[in-house]
Amino acid sequence: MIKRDRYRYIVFIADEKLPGKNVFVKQFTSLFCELFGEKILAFSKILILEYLQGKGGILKVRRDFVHFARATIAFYNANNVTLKVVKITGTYKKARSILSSIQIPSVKV
Amino acid sequence: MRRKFADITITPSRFDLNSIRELILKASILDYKLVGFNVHATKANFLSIIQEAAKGFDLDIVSRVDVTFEKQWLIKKHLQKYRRKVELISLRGINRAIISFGCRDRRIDIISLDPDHKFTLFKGDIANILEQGKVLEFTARPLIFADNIKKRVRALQQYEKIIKLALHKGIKMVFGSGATTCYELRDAGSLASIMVAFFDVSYKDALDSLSKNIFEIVERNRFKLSKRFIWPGVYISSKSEKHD
Repeated sequence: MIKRDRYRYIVFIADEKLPGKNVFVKQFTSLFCELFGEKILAFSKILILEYLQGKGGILKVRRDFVHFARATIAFYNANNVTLKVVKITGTYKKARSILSSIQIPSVKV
Repeated sequence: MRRKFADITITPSRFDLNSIRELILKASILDYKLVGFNVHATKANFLSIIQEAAKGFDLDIVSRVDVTFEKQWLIKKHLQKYRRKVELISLRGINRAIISFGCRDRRIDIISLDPDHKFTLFKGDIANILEQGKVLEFTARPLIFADNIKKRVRALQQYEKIIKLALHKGIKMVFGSGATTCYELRDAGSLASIMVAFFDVSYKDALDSLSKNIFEIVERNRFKLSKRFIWPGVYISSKSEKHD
């Protein structure tokens, strides 16, 4: 019997203002492809579900490829913007509630 | 119990109070409990600035000195100077002679891998590392902030070779961001994921290299620096300890 795909939802935030959604998706997928190749990109079924320009977003990825997605988040470095993974959840509902409740701390001293 | 994470690989590019404070603040935002700044022996006077900058933060700071020099006599001179003065002493493996010396000398705790230089470990080196409880150190900086794809590939190849060897021989590893500014700091989970995704390390081992292995070496060295320590294997027992 073929098991159905299981997914994880990665909630991430940014410390600076992120670019527009289309630009971010393009940057993120090209970085993922550069690091792990087209095969992993295809099999991971990575998708940006929610994206708030000043805050962060939610990334949907197949469970077996969570570390690949997380490593790509660590590698993301456009215009000195760094991303931080807040939580990895099993449901979209939980991920949304976490993202809506987050307040972004400032790094400036 | 929740894991505590540490990053002892932060290498500040500037040593002014504000930039050090920014680094410490970002590290505390990223949930690190212990932070160590990798300061070269020639700049060791900045250790006091780091201690001052850390005041007011709920973060444990480790004093660490890097004694990398081309000449062995210079390394020995600085080792003599900083022994029992700092909590961690590290050496970057820049050539075969230095790597061999670093594995042999008991005063050195951490051997860092520099992807710009060829890094090899021989049988004797591995035996010394295991016997003396040293750790191998890797940083994510050469991977994330590589100037070009060639450098990144080179770093990945070097890391893969040594990590495979370390896992096979049971050598403890330490992983960190190697950040020079606060924008280069990454959370521990993401760093562990880099190890899992690129080097096929188990997630537990990757997390250990960011927490358990670091705390073990820091606690061991702090005990050695305490007044209770007399000689390896000989120490003054505290009142609370029971004797048979």
